[in-house]
Amino acid sequence: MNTSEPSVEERDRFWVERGAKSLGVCSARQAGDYTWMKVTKSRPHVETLIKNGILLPIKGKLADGQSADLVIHRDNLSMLEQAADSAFKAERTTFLSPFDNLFWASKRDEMLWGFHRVLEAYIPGPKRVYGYYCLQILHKDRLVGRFDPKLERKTGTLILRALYLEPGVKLSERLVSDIAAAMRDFMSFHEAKELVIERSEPAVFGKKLMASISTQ
Amino acid sequence: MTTYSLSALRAVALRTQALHTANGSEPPAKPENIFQVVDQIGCVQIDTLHMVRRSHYLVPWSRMGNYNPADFDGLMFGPRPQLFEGWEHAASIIPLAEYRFQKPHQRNLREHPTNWFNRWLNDQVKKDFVPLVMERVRNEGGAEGKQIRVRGTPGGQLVELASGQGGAGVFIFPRRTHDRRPRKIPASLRSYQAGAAKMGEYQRAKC
Repeated sequence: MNTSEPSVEERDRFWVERGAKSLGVCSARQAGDYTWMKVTKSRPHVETLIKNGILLPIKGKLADGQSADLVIHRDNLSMLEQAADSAFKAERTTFLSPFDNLFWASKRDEMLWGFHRVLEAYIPGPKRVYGYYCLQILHKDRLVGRFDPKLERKTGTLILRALYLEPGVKLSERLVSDIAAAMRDFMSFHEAKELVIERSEPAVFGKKLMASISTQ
Repeated sequence: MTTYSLSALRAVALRTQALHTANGSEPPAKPENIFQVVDQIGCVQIDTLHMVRRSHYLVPWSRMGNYNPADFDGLMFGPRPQLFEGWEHAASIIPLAEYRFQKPHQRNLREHPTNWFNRWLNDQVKKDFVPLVMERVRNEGGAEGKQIRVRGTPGGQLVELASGQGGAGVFIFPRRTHDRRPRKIPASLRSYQAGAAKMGEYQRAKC
């Protein structure tokens, strides 16, 4: 294993490259966000990586319909071309921590999903819109909702203090059953036996989810 | 120039994050696959909030479904550690092979301490306090921070601070707290050290 101390230059370039590669697609200024690097520091590294052909400039259509200049790591280019040919799709239904790596590029959730990830734990209670510690709901390639969980460890109860469906998301049977399956797995991971949904917007989302969980 | 569709951009953003696998088709929930997730996405952020399991446990769950969190801990504190706690996206758990990228910051803290804490720590190094604590841990294995007393002062917190400066090697604390009390040093530290000892460079207290 290489244990030699790198120069600050080498480290920063490694981290910018790492960020761009792990993010898949991002704007040039977002590549450094992945390792909490200031834009003024990451910019020259992004420029060098583009000059050396390691990062490639591309154009892409964003959630608001506008096209934007983005970068991709050269190792991910064939993946992008496969995705453009629909050779693979994102198929997962899961829940994402507010600290999840998917959200490490500032504002990319809005660019690609028209979704704003929130962490309201450090906001005074009355000012919170969604809740203390919301997990985001990923369904295939969309962010479709969020919930504010609290695990009662002594009683093995997972409480959703609030559950939200994003505006414009259709509440299909498939969506509900996929989220229910993920919720059951999430409960197993927490050794929770009971689920309580205290509030749901819309209310029908919570009702259907509970029904689907109890029949699975 | 081609303009790529939104669905193609999303598919790549999710796949590079290992978030594309259909539920039920994930790789088996084995330690090597937990490591694979962390290695692919670079690191996972540590945070104290624990309404559910802590965030660094949730991130692999999102990607691979139910697994045993003790296996994750084992990757840090087991006999053959592959992950360590350092600084990348804030405090993070990072593949051990990337430890060298911590060193410039550690050097900076040692050579240009900008706050009282690091200046104080440097003073303790000069007084042999840190090496004495490290010797105690090396000789006697894991213990609670408050049990490690050198010249009447609890040493556990110091070990973590020294770790930030690169002096204490690669010690990691499984139940990180952000209070000011001495930290717990895991009972598994003894076996952890056995792994760390393989990297001779890190086993020496060299603040």
